[in-house]
Amino acid sequence: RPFINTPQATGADQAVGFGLVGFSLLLFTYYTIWVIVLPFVDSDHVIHSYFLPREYSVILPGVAALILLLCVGTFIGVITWKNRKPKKVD
Amino acid sequence: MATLKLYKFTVCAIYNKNIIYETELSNRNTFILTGGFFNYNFALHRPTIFITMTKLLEWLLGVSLIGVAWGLVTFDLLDLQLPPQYRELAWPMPVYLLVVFGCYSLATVGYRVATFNDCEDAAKELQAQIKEAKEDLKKKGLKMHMHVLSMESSAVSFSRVCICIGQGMNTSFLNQFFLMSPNSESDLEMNPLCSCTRAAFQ
Repeated sequence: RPFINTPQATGADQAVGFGLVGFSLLLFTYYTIWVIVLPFVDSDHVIHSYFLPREYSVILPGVAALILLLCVGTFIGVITWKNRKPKKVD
Repeated sequence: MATLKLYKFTVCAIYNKNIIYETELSNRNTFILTGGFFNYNFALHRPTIFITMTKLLEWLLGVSLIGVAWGLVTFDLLDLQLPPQYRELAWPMPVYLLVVFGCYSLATVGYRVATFNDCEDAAKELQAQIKEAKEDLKKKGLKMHMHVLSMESSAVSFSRVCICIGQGMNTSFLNQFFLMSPNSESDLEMNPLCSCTRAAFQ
């Protein structure tokens, strides 16, 4: 299986790229409002219904980081397992 | 009768080769030194310990200062009686900074992917040339893998192509050539785009 980085269609590239940018902007905005803006908003304001309790603002990224580490570790393990050489028989 | 000798020595803190802080200590004080080495300073006529401010020390100092400030605010160790909103704001700060850094990285990667210029014609031409060369070499009895590892062209209309040829561990750069338009400047400081590794030839 060749390891080729052939030029992709520009359309798909742009879609993926700007999709990533948009997603990260969305995530940044939501998380900033959650962590920084909400403590200064009255507790009976309607905006609080759109956000989970404050503890989840630490727990959810922690869980996401764990899952990411798991995926990376699994990927490395799979690649290492695939590349292992059979032992020489003397 | 054994006596304990009292030693006096000087501790110098050095930043950018200038001594920014000097103090006299005796062996009665206990302290922890990092990044320091023990020497005899002939001008001062006493043993001297130099603490050289490396980048690592700088970073560690900065991070630990910020960490101490965060701990003080979060756990209210100094009984500062801050308003509750600021305490609510402070305690998720490390996680928040990490998430912001992750978002910034993701956005940068996405933006670079979206603005990556391709050159379709050059790619097709190159693939045709590779096929031709492959058949030619096959005729001569040499079995080889040829891969186009990467291609890039910038907005200033020059492109750079790296081709790796080889099999297994015998990889070498066949060609790394620059096609430049007459008006563009050569950009030789750009790092090569590709490197041949064994994993590339599975």
